Amino acid sequence: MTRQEAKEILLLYRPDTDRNDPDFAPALEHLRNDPELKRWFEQHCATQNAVFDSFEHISVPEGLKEQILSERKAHVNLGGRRAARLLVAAAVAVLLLIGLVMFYSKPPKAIDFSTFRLRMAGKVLRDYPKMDLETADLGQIRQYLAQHGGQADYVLPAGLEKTRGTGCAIFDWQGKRISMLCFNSGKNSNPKAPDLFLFIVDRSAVQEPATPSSPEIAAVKTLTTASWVSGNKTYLLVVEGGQDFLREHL
Amino acid sequence: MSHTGDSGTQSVSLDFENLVGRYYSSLYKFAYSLTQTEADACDLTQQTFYVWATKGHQLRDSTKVKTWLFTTLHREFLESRRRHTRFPHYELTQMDAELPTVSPASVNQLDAKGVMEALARVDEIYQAPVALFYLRDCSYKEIAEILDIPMGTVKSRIARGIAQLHTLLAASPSGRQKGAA
Repeated sequence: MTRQEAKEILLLYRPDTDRNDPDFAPALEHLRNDPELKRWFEQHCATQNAVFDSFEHISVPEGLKEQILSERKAHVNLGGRRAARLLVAAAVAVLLLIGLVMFYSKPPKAIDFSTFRLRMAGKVLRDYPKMDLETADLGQIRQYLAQHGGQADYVLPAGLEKTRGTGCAIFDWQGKRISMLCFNSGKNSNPKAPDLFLFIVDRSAVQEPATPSSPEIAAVKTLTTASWVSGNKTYLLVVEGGQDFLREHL
Repeated sequence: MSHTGDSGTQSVSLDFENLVGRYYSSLYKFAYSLTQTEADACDLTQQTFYVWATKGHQLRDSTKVKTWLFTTLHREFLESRRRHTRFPHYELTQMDAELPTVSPASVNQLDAKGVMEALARVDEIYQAPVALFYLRDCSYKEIAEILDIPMGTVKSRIARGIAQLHTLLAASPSGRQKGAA
């Protein structure tokens, strides 16, 4: 084994982890007779330990776990455990009763608006969820939403009324029904690819934005957003572009 | 070669809360090493568990939960990146004849931020395997499953990625200053 070959093997060596791994034994043996290789290896291990420590010390934001758990969907996988299903069935009846009592005694908790805005912008960035219906016809979009339990009685801003639609989707987030309307401004070379996304949610589902009566503009990551409240709906428009581009569609 | 973290063949409870408690921290760190930003890393981690909540029931083998979660996070990351950038195509070339060394002074200067910044400059094709290697949560076999590439390719990408990372760390401004002192 040459020094270079030994180095290439030892590059993958993890101090404290791979000490007794037979795959590294020949290269480690080589260190005994090669002082230069040994010097390189000691330095390499020191660097590796420092990098491992760096990864170890990446701090996880407080509250992330709670946030994930709060987003848990109702239909979490319960696997094929029959016993669990029976238990769930029994529990459902009890919970239904408790739920009814709670429903009539306390209004449901509204979600923080900034969280709603951040997560919807995240969906746009990930191109997720996919559209349930792809069409340029805004009438068809409204009809689809009405037929599938989405928010159909929405009012579009004048700018969006004139914009070509690309489709829509309905999804649940934190137990709230959300409708997403997608548009193409014409600046995108692909007419089917949206660059404007309008999220509509019932007004009671999320806390109101800071200025509910007039659009509140905010940058989220690489996107620009506008949010407002009208009637019994809260609207969030997310665009791939700057403020001027966004204002053209309000 | 041996590995750290829990075994790839270990069966784990599929209870959602248990899974979150067990893996959210590792997944966040993986996401952070890929995105370099807290908000994006949080988003990716949340999205991963969202996908689990909606599609996890399709997984029949409970020993694969960990690799499923890491794979999902990586796919979500790639999907978000594909939307904004085109991945350059890399050919695997022979490793540089001279492998890098970081000076002792530079090693003492390393912190998470500097390492993450350097990792972001490593060729994209090496970033995920290198991050998984340094997180010490996954065996080489698991890394191969997560990235859906053969074990030999995993090792060569990790080796090349480490070489690039060390080169970048050695060339970092603090390293050069200390090294010159």
